Amino acid sequence: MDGIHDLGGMQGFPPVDPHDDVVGYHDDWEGLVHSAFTGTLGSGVHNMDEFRHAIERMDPAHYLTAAYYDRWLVGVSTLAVEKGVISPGELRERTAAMADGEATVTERRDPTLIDDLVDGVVDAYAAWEDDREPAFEAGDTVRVRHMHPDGHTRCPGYVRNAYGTVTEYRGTHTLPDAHAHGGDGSEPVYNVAFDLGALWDADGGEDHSGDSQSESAGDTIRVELWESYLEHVNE
Amino acid sequence: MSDHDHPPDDSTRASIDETVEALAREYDPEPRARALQSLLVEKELLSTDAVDAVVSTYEREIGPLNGAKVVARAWSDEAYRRRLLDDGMAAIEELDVEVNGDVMEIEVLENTPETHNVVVCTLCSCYPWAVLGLPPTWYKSPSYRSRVVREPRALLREEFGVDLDDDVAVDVWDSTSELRYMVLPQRPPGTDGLDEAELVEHVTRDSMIGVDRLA
Repeated sequence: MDGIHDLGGMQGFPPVDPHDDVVGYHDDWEGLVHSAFTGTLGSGVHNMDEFRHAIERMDPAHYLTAAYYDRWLVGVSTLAVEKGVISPGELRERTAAMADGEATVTERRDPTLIDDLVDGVVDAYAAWEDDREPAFEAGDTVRVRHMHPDGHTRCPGYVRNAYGTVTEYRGTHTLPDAHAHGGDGSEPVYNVAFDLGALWDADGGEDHSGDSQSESAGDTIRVELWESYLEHVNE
Repeated sequence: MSDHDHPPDDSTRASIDETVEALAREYDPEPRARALQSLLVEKELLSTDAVDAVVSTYEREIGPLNGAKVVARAWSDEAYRRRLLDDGMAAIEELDVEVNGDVMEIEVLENTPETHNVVVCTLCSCYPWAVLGLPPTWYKSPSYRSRVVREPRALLREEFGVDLDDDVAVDVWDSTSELRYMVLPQRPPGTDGLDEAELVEHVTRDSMIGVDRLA
């Protein structure tokens, strides 16, 4: 979907603050969210593509301001409720009780569960291995389809309608666009290279002083794209 | 999990989105995270041990040191370097770095005098955590994700202090599939006599993402 998460090429954000030497979590609650994600993914409550799509459905203003693990928290909470694991009422009540200091975190030991969850996470990432001949090969010029699906996709908006060159066939992988919505199956995936200058054209790039072409000359953006995102270009 | 296999219709989805977002507007992440954790523990989808295991794995066991060892070996051993570029996962596993090939594939991108590689995930924040640990805050920010595919040179120069010469081409790798990338930086000058353990000290996390250039 054309959501706020699809950030490639958007303008107007503040400068990056590159200083971050923290190894591990920045706050204790982030580790709780990460383990909750492991619990639901590893138990098969949702798959990776449903998880990504749940985050993509966030309120745009919240998405942009939320800490990274807050986005995960929204994604896991949304899916746990949608899949019927937790009711909206109990989530609301428990959250209020936690905020008011009227509840403590539930403790329950189950030392073997983590191994089951890790196995489940591996299963969740396992790709469908379809025996399918790729339609493109390295060196082919392709055009990314001008697509705007309502649902989940891993085709970034900024490469749509652009011309690129297939650099490598990556094998078949689960199609996220289907998998996020209950479908299955896989497609060939390709690494496709785009000329940065052509992607953003002469006045979309580095600066507007007239020498933007030279500054990005030779620079390349490389994206993994599923076969149905691409079409042949007749040369 | 057949008991969970009832995809909600759009109106149910919308009302659930609204419920969760309303809670997010009302409460900080911490009480929401503690509530979610507790409920999942009670539903037997999570346990106290599992929470501890996940947290300690990411706090203590996985981090940029794994990647630094890989880089130092590649700088010291030409045959290893070739194996690393040819099949990143297999070469990383040689160093007893635990990466599960079923969860993550890793491709190693070599910086050269002619080419500088930089990694991003514009759609979410995919990151090679098996070799670099948890990502830094800036990697996950809209600022980085939006700008690095549009004007990587300006971003590197203005925000990371990496000023690339005009004759160095920039390759930006957007992680859109389950394939993850790690940059093999160039060996810095003045490190000729150093052994592998000493070389590890010269590898920065940021150089393995591509926003720091050691040479």
